[in-house]
Amino acid sequence: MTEPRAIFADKPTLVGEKVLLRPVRLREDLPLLRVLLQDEEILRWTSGSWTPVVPEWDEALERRTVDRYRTRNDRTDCLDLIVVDRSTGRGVGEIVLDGWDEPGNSCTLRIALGPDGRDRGLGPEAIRLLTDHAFRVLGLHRVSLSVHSLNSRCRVFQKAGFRVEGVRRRALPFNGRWVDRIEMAALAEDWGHELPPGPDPERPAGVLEDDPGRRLTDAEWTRLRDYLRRYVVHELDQWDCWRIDTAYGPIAITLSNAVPEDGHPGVWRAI
Amino acid sequence: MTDQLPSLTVTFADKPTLEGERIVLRPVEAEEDLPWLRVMLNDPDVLRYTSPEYTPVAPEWDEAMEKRIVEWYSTRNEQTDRLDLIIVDKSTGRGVGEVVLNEWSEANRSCNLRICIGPDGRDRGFGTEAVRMATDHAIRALGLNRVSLGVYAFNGRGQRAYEKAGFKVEGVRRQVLRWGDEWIDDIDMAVLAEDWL
Repeated sequence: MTEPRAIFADKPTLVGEKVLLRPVRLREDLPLLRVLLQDEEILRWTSGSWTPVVPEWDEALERRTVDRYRTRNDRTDCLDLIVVDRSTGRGVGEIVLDGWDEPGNSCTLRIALGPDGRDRGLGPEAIRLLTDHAFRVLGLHRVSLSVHSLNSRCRVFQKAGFRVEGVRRRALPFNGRWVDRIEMAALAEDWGHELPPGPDPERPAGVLEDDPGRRLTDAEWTRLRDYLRRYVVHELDQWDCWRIDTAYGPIAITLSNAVPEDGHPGVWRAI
Repeated sequence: MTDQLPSLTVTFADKPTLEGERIVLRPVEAEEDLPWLRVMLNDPDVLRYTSPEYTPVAPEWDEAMEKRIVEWYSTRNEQTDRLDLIIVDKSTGRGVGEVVLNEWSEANRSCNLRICIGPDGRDRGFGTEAVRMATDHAIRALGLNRVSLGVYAFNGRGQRAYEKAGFKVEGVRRQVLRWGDEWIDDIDMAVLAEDWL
């Protein structure tokens, strides 16, 4: 067996418009890390409990944090960078590539922004910068991640160019009920290309783009309508995703109440 | 949770024998099972559909491999966080494959399912039945809320068996496996207790 390639050995500084990503500098970043580790919103979407318990910042936790982050820059199996707000020069969050899969040439991405880094468009830019690094510099083929379906910030990933690949139903317990987990990914071959336009509102939703003369069979169309109806009747605050095998090949359908801004009026009219 | 937690008298440490119509699921008996398991693990279809990476030919079966396999199958019944069962063809009494519940998450009350059937057990509906039985055990006996699995897009037989057993497609993870010159998608499927019961 050969040693695995040290894919993330290099710790670059990536400069964007509003943000800059740079390696961890423990002494300087410890106050930020403390904020991130005690932030209720971050804990809510990452700890899996509705009412997150904010850990007390004691000596033991500080030591654990120091131990963990002191070695970040020596690790070759993950790339941890601090998200710096260029307007103030201060660190506001953390963004990470890890979970490298050598045969699939893929990895996962996660990001956590503290209160100072939210709602200002820093997230999509940080995600875009690091994903771009993964594809263009590291030569990766696929970057994926998963998001809690109630986390309304999940759209930053779509803004950055990720696509929804599926919805793992009832994957997480949350506030006395089950919620879904949304799976997203970006592929190198799509990266930098414009996303294909949504369906044309002037065209009935049952007609496929590549061959406007042909229609779905009645059975396929009924099934599609049943899916959509189920979605509307069922839970509008949840995402859903289905695959229909049709005579044209499989059709993937992804829906959420966040979609209309991207424009799927054809589908809505059909319900 | 709003749904009732069943009394958890059965755990992953229990290794049941489950009686089906045409198959029986039973714990691993290493001595008896190893000879045919070796054959199954070298089967080209098994390699293609279960390898996490491109494995066009079976790797050489050397001493290290032999040791690993013996070690693996002789310790399956001691595991307390997963369940490995052998699929037995009732008409012959012989083992033809295995079905496994693994990646148990206690907090999320979920697990993963995988199945592998050797050439002697294919195209006879054993897969569908084994998946149904193992899933039923996971949901009714172990009280899980969710059983999920991944199946490569080029494994049509697997997809059909899972669909027949009641699994639904939740998504398609694009291009996760490099197989020769091709990228292969991974299809995510799952079944929920609320659909099953």
